[in-house]
Amino acid sequence: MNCQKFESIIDSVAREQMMEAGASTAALEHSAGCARCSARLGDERSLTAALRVLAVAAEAETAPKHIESALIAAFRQQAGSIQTLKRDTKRMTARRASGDWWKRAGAAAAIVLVALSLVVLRLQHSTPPATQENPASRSAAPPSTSAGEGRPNQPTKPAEPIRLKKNGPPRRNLLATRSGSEPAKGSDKTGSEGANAAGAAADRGFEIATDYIPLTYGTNSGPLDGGQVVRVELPRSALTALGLPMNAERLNERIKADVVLDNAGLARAIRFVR
Amino acid sequence: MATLADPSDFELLQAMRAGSEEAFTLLYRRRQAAVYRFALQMSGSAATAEDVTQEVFLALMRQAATYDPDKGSLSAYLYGVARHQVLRCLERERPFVSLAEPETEGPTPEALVAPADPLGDLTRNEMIDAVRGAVLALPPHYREVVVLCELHELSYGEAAEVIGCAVGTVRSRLHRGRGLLVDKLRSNNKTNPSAGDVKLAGCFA
Repeated sequence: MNCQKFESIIDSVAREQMMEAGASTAALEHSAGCARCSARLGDERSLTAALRVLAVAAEAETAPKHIESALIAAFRQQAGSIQTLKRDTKRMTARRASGDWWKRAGAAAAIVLVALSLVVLRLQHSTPPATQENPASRSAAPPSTSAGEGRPNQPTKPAEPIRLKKNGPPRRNLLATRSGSEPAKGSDKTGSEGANAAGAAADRGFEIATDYIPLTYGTNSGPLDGGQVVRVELPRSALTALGLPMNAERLNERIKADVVLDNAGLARAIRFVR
Repeated sequence: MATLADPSDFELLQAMRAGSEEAFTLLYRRRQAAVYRFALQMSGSAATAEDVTQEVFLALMRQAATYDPDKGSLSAYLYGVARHQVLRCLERERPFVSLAEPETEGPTPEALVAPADPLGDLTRNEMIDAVRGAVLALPPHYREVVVLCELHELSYGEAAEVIGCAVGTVRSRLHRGRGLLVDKLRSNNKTNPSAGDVKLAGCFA
């Protein structure tokens, strides 16, 4: 061991701390042969002894009694304030629970009333357009009245509504099938009647639909000899175009419709399905 | 409070938080001496030590919830709070230089009784005063390590926990602090030849 290594562990040697087994012996051997390191070790040991004497002398020193008294008083005050706070909180909670029950009941009743009103309003808005109109008045209205009467936004006047209330899933090429298996009964049969028969054949379904509304184009299109019924989706603004009421809140939604096409591909009637 | 044979510091602290005055008193009596001595040895002033002791336990009372037993012992926590308070006091009092002698509160009752070995006690008291003065003359960051490791016999790890530094830092500061103490005591012996009679300090001559 050299003097530098000795200096690095001299504290531990002087304080008799736990250290490597050989290190302490080597340090003592080095100090025995080195006068300078021996003196250093003597100083460090003296210092350690002096500090221990000081530590022992200080053991009797304690805080004065009045500090304990003051602290206990402070503790009581704090504990008292906490207890008071807890008691007040409990009292307020109990008062709220017992005294204000009728206010809470009133609030709950008001909430229930508002919720019921909302449900009723929603049901009213979700009713299909056909149910909002009076079918009797619609059918009673003369189908051949002049176009646009009483319906300023209606581009074409439905000449004669086709009465169909309920029908099934969309039927494709229904009239063509009928015309194939059961030929049309003469030219006097109107397109409306053909479509009506087609709708009647689909009464097994669960959809709700409006009556078929004939579409005219200013000129007499003639009787419907045959054609197809095509299921399409239209913007809800189409309801307005045909003079039907529409929920403005659902303007952006789409609505299903069955369109009767004649053999030339011309739309002859339409109904809205829900 | 639940009657426990020897409740731990943490158990006492929990009972104290639940409002047990007995637990607080027991905890105070168990830990106050170490806190007071640390403050006294760091500041050299009994008044400061009293203030610090009071502040430490008031802080414990009000902020007991901030103590986390996973981070260290309650003893280390209290030493840490005391150290913080002492350093604040030292910082506050640094601009003022005391011209008076160290405060003397009159002779203690023990001093009025004739000792069995007056000369031996005198030399011992002189030696203690000399070492105490040397410790107080150390810069605070060396002083706190010397006080904790030498006078309170904390391990390097515990001292590092109190101070909030690495163990190696504690070790190096202690080495340097001890070296400064040796120099100080040796210079005292040179300037005051009568101190050479003190046996323990004689080797510093």
